[in-house]
Amino acid sequence: MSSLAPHRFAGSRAIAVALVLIAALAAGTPAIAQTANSNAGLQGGQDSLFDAVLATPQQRTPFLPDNVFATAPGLEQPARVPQFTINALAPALFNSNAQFLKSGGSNAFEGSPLIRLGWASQLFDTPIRISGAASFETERFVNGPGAAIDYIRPSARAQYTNPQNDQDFSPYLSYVPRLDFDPTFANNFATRQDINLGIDKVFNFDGAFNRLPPASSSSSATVWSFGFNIGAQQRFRDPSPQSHAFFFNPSASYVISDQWNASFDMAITRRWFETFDGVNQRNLTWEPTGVVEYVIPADFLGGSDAARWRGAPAIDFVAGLERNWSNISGREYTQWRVGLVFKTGWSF
Amino acid sequence: MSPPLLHRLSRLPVAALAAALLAAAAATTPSLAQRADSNIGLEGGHGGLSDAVLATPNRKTPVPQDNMFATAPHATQTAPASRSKKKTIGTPPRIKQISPEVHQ
Repeated sequence: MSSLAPHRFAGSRAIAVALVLIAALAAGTPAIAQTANSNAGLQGGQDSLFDAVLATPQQRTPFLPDNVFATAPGLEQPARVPQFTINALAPALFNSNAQFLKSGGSNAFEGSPLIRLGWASQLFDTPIRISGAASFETERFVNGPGAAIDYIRPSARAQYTNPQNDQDFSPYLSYVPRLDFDPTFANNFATRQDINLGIDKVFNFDGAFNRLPPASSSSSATVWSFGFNIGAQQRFRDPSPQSHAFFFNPSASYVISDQWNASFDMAITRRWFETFDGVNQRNLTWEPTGVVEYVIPADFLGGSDAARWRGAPAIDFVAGLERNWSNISGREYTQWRVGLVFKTGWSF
Repeated sequence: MSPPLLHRLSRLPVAALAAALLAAAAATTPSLAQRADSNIGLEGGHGGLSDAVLATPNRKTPVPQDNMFATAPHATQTAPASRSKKKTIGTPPRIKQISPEVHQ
């Protein structure tokens, strides 16, 4: 007999017992219940019995932490509930190539606000964090004909997180569709759906460049952080072409002070498009971006509560390059963006 | 200058900047986007730029945990639990679990 066989028999016994109990219940002669002036309406109901069963401590079967008995497991502990966030970004940027053209693209002033709603929660008591987001984005240009566009970008993600070490390898699976619209969210002319499989990894250091020890949250002690996100993507797109990609996104961040922070990221994507109109397009896209951020002091906003109500605003100085190489000459482009982003966020 | 007045004046530039950015975005003339066979449809979209801004460490402004950059705040941490104001009493750890097999 294989080692799995006893487990199978044990499982069969449990199912058999459950079936017998349900069958016995169903086979019993149904009787009309006593009405409201009897004890059946005033008392009874087996609430306490069920709560007593659920209050029996054990560490396997999950149950709601809501029980009439104080000794029920987990009753005094905080429940895990989703955390919601709302972010609003208002960029004011100079864009060197609003149309992503190889040459002759417009030098344009760009105002492209976006709102992003997000939530995250642990999946029961597992180390899997599930999160979702939805972004509503508009891109508007002064002197950038043919470049205005709107996006709706939802996402869903399941990610392994080590509860004892936030610097551990953190693999994830995400689904990120993007709907492209003519202004203003008028006509959905393209939709793409990305499935990403990747791994996050960070290395956190204090101000003296000492590596921080494993901890559930090393954020408050982190001054320098280096990391990468590496993975693969399959993109389904309507209309064609579909594509798949390999990406490597190294990044670094630096907490300069309570008011100043900085980060530098460099997304690198190698993309292979399916054959479309007899063309096999291959792209390599490089997107280095530097950000220096000034958090507006709470005193300027009337105190910490007032600052929180205003979304703890910050002003980001941003400079970014997007360089695309392609085996199709007309698909190559270079785009610089430099400017300010007004950043706010709320959580609840 | 009194402190309340100073606070009011200091708030003005923030509100003015936000209003100016939103007004500039709204005032620009919308024009048709290039279609699916252009680079706008295939690339672009500021996904990298907005994630870069949200990935910049900041101990005040809340950001989502979902980000394309691993060094984004809390990107590799478990989701936070609710902030209950009830007094919490943790379940004590089991110090020693007696296994029947060991004593047979």
